[in-house]
Amino acid sequence: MLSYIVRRLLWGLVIIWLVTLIVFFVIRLLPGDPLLIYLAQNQDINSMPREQIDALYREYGLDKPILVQYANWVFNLLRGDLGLSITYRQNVGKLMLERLPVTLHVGMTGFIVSLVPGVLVGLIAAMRRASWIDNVVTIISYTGIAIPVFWLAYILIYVFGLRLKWLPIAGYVSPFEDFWLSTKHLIMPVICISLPGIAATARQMRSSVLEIASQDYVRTAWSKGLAEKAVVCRHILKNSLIPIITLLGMRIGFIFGGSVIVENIFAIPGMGRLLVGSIFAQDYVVIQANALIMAVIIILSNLLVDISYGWFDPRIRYD
Amino acid sequence: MPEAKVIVAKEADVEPRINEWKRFCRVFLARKIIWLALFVIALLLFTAVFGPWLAPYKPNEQNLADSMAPPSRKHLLGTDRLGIDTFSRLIYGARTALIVGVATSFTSAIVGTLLGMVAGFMGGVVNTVIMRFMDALMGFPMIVLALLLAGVLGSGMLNIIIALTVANVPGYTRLMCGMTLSVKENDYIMAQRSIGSSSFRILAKHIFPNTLQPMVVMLTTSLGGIILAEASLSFLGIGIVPPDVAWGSMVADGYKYLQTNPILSFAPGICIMLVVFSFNIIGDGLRDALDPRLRGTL
Amino acid sequence: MSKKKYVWLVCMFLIMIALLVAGCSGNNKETTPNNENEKDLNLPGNNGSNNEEITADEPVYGGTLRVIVASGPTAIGHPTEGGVARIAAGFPGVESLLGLMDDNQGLEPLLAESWLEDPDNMTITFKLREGVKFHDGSELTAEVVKWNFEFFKSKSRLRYVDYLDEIEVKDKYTVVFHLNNWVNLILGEWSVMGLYSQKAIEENGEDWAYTHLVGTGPFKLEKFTRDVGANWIKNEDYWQEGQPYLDRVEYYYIPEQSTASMMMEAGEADIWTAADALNTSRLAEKGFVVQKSWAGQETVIIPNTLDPNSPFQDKRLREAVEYALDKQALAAALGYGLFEPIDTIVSRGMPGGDKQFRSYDPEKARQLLQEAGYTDGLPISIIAQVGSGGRNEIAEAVAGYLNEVGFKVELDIADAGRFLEEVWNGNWKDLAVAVTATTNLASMHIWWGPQGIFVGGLRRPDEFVDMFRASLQLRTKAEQDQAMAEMVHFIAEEALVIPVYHEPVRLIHNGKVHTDYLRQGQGRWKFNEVWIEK
Repeated sequence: MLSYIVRRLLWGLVIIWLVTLIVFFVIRLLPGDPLLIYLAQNQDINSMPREQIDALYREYGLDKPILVQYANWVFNLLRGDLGLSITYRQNVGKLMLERLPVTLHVGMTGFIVSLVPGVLVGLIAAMRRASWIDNVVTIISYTGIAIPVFWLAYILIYVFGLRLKWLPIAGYVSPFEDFWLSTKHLIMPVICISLPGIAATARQMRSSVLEIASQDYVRTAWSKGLAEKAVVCRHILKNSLIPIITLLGMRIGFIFGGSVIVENIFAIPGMGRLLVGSIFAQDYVVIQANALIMAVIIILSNLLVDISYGWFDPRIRYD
Repeated sequence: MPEAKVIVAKEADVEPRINEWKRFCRVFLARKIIWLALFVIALLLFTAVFGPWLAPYKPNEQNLADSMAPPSRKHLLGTDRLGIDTFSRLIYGARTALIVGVATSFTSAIVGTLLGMVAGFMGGVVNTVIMRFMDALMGFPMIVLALLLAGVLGSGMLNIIIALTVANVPGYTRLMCGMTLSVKENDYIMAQRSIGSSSFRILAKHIFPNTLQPMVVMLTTSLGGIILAEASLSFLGIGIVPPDVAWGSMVADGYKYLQTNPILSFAPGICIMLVVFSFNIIGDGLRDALDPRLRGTL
Repeated sequence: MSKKKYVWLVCMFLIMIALLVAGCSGNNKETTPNNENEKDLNLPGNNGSNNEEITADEPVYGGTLRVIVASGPTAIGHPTEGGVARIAAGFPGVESLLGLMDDNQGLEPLLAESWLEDPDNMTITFKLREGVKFHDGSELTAEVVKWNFEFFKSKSRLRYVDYLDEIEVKDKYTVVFHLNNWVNLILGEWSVMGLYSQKAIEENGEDWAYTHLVGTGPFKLEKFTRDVGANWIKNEDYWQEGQPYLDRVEYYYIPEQSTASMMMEAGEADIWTAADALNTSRLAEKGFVVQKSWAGQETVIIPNTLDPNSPFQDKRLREAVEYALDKQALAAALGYGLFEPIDTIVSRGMPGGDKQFRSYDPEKARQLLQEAGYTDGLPISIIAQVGSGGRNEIAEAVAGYLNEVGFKVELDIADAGRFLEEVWNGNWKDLAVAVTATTNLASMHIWWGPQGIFVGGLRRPDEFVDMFRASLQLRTKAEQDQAMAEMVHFIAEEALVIPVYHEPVRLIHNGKVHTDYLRQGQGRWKFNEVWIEK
């Protein structure tokens, strides 16, 4: 077990190295010149002498061959230096420390919120298969997956923010500052992030329960005359949760994916908004760091999911 | 409907027992909602193919004097800001949706299958290189990867297809690699090897047909995701640009008119939802019907 | 959306520059603080502005003003960093030596109580107001002004820096800029740069200034959160007696139009400065008050006239483009009554804007195309910046008109990055749809001058460049306006740029806010005078 974990961690490092390659070289292909845009924004394109612009290129190492730039970037990463943002002119690590907690706050809340209803709904739908409950749940969950997030967001804002005035329309407040207000701000973004999650979890749970329910040991349990509660809890629920864990691993990725759109609509200062802004400003220092951090978190959580398999499913052995 | 037939025909090649087909139909068509889904997809196919004959106007035929017209006999769903007929745009959008969805999912399925089968069959270093690279790609949320690539490539239909394809390949590769690995260990493959069949022959004749079922399910389900992803990219501003018309861009474009002229966003939005909905239902139906473990119980 | 935001940002930056330097009239006489009589003149620049506040009732004290803007700066209190939105974001707390006067009429005293521009001796002298304190208690002195300018210079953020020989601190409140060359744009550029506390930045460092601001303005920065907003509280020691009126100012940075418009409707904000035409008209119908400015942006089509292979070297084709466009219908369909068609690169009230050169005549356009030898149509490409939903309705509409008369347009909807680069480097093919802002000589210089934005693709005949050079030496506003009109007419006559329509900048408020912000273009916001009804 231990050697398995160590081995997986080492592979994890290799994958992260591959991620740095992808991030770096894909982003360097971005058309346009980030410094040009930066200078344009700061209206210096005409006032800056050529030497000064060259100095800026040197400051960002843009005058060096691309492989040297890559080596420098990785070397600095290892020292914990994420580089200097072109548009923000500040250390990217600092920026990330501002953004990551916000995205995690919104995303993890959405993640947890999607978990419990998803599992419950899926379980009920499967146990009452082909009943009206199943049909309603199925239709709702398919709709939940099919609805474009930005559309859902608009409808929520329209109903709860504008018509009913129950919730603030946009913005973000740290929970340490004002917990109640922060939670109110969180409700709509969390619904947007978690609805597709609830639907996907319910769907997966439903088919997983159906599969488990047809296993011999479950039939045996029924035929022994055990109460429904006992069968469901002890045999079906526990075993059908295993595929859900894989799904959860995948949903970590959706947290970041969802944040890209949700943060823009609700004006939440998280990583998704920073990423989109940076792509348009072509601030590749920020894009690199942003994408890298997302990828590292996703890879590590997938690793965690794999390892936790053994804990849930004793049939899996690590070798 | 045509999709289902294709699958069935292939399956019949592998297992020519007649009651398999009956069983498949029984399970697949058991849920009533599947009929709705099949109907929607059939309608989509029909519209996409015959769009130019169905649409009353060209998708870029503007008439500024008729800007933002409400629904009428002349314009079934009204017009947008440039006076372009919304209904016609919707019809041409069906074609784009299908092209983007099908091109993306088939390209990624083909690339993913090749990579996955090679990785699974060859094993060793090849497997490691391919699969770790796919792991790295999977480290990015799909929309983020697509956003990065679309940012590099720029807007436009072809670029969006490429970006979404790259984002979708790892899933297929992983699936195919896993399937190949498990099939490879079967006795009949071992037997083929021992009588000296070429690797290619084994891959093509014996492994590939076995991996078809899960791939078809994945293909169908991912179609919906791709159409949604295109809509999201359009919303963020890197999407399909004129003269091509896409539902995603229409929703995103109509977004700002939601309070004044909601039909501009709702019409394509409902189309997206229906199509994604239907692809997901069919994908799940196929999975239930094709999975031998589930078939008996359903 | 975020793309929209970015596109908006890039446009706004260009427009900001144009408006910030809008005060460059070369009054070479000592100006006194009270030019009240001039203020009320309805000058050509003041077309259709809606300034009912001027005559409104007595200001009341107290209250919080909540402002929605499209985007915030990356840094707020740093003298040179922060990006496009920095200057607008600092309006409540930062002031400059001189302020823009209402209605594009030049400059008026602010932190400097008087100034003397002496072209013959090549000096500009500012006499500072005594007793002005920064928010940290330090005093505004000539030394501090000098330090600020040295700071801009050290960061290469001072335009016309080559013209500056030295900054002399004559006495505690007098600072003299010694020049080696004089052009009439310098004063307008330098005198409106925001001044920051030397003490605060030296003590706390530049990094600190990214999120903290110490200026002399009527409001002190309480808290700035990037991409969220900024909270300001009343500066009790403000140098203007009895001001400001408000207790607090809160800025929200909301990139999404729909979100912002719903916040306005829900009463979550009082003022919104970034509404698009659609939301402006929609909210106006719902009873919100719209204030329009004399300033704005002009949408134009720029043929690439430098590329020797471009068919648009032929003047007849450039004219054909203009004849083909029904600007009136275009403006009406896209602008919800806000946009006005234009006949030159400036709006109709500006110097040179009142002469029409070509009107809608598709038949003539077809004929010109035939004459130029393109009997079976001319395939061309139009580059435009991507808007919401991947579209650019202006470019699409223009393409529609051009196709009518025999062009075969291929649209190239580009991302902001590529668009900016192509425009900057002049490598766009055929036509570019661009948004510009020309209100006076300074903005003429930025957009159309020999070193202007479209430097790589717009042909400037020698004659035109000479006109430009000469205009920079003119001293009175009347002379400058005259020269500007001539240059505007030159461009129009040659059809080097094809004007389409003018979009005024505007703000929307809930009817309780009293401000004349837009009379100063967007280059200044007198927060000390803003008040809100209870």
